[in-house]
Amino acid sequence: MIQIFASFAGSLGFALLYNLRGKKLWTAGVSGMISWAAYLFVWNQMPSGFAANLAAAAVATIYAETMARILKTPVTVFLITGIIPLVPGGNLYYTMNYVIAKEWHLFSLYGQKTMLTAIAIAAGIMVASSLYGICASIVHHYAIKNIK
Amino acid sequence: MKLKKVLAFAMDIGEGMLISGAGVSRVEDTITRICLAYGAKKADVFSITSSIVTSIEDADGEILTQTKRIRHYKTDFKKLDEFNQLSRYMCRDLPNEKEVKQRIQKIKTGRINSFMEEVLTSAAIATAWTIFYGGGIAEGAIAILIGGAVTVLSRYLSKLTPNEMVLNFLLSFFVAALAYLSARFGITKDYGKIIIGNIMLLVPGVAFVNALRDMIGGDMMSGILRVCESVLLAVFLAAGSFMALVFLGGVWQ
Repeated sequence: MIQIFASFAGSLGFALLYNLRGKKLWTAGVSGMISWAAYLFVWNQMPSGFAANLAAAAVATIYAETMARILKTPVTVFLITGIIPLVPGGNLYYTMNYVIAKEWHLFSLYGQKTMLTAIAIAAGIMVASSLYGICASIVHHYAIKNIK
Repeated sequence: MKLKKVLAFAMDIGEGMLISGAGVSRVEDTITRICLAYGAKKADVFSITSSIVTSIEDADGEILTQTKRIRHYKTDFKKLDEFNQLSRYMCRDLPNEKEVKQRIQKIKTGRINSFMEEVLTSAAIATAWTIFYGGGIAEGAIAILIGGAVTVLSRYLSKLTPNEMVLNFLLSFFVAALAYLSARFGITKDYGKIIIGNIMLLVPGVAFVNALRDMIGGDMMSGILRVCESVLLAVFLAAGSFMALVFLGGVWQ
């Protein structure tokens, strides 16, 4: 619960730092919260970091694409703030920490975790936004047909 | 409006968007749309993260080309949003030269965060992430100080350092050193959480997300450039805090 709130505050902070104001600022904050909530939900169903990150990134992408269309803003704005809680900053730190402690086994474990998280986020964004693009163009196609 | 002017304005808008953190495919799309809307017969835009090249052909078959080189970025979603609105407006209503010029000028000189705001915001971000990764009240309080200090330092260091990587290396060195020192003086035990929270300020999230979006748009080259950039930055971040911990750990043993 604290984590969800902190992810909201953190995403909000980044949006503020990048000079976003008004309604868009709050939308950006919520995107971080939603993606972390999705992460926790999937983690509780199936404790695998890869699946949870993938699902959370996909949820964040869908949220960002939808909100961008409603508020007429580039998708990047909400996507960046939504992805930030998933960024493997913690794992990167622990990887480095185990080099210092000369624990090579743990080092390779956490190194792999960091890489896998990055790959999972990439895959989540790619899959979700490609699918969203296909769906949007189908909807668009039929909308135009109906007008005609 | 003359096509020459249209090209110049479209390039200005494209440049502004790229600097403020838009993906390459969006920049190319915007410039193409504006040029076509004002009556260019053909518009070919090629852009990577550090340069934009546009050639347009007018009705008489005459060809105009312009190039822009981009050397620095400053993520600013407000400007990005406003440039986007302006380009939509231009394609729809075809405003005249004077109005477009005014609006571009207005966006460029628009409100930006003051230095004080930037410092306070980064302090809040660092604290939020420190708590997110499991830090307590003491850790959060130290993160406020370090987060603010990082922004002040980056302002002055960025004038001295030759590139982004050295800057990030020095900043993360500084973060880790301060966090470690605070642990040494017995204020906190868990200096790792503080380091993570502050590293989040420096992590190249914008570059990474844009890289993926470029690749989805079929722009492999810009995508690869940006992925390389963000991986290199991450390595330098890790190296910076590594050096600080090894150095200080060695001194005090």
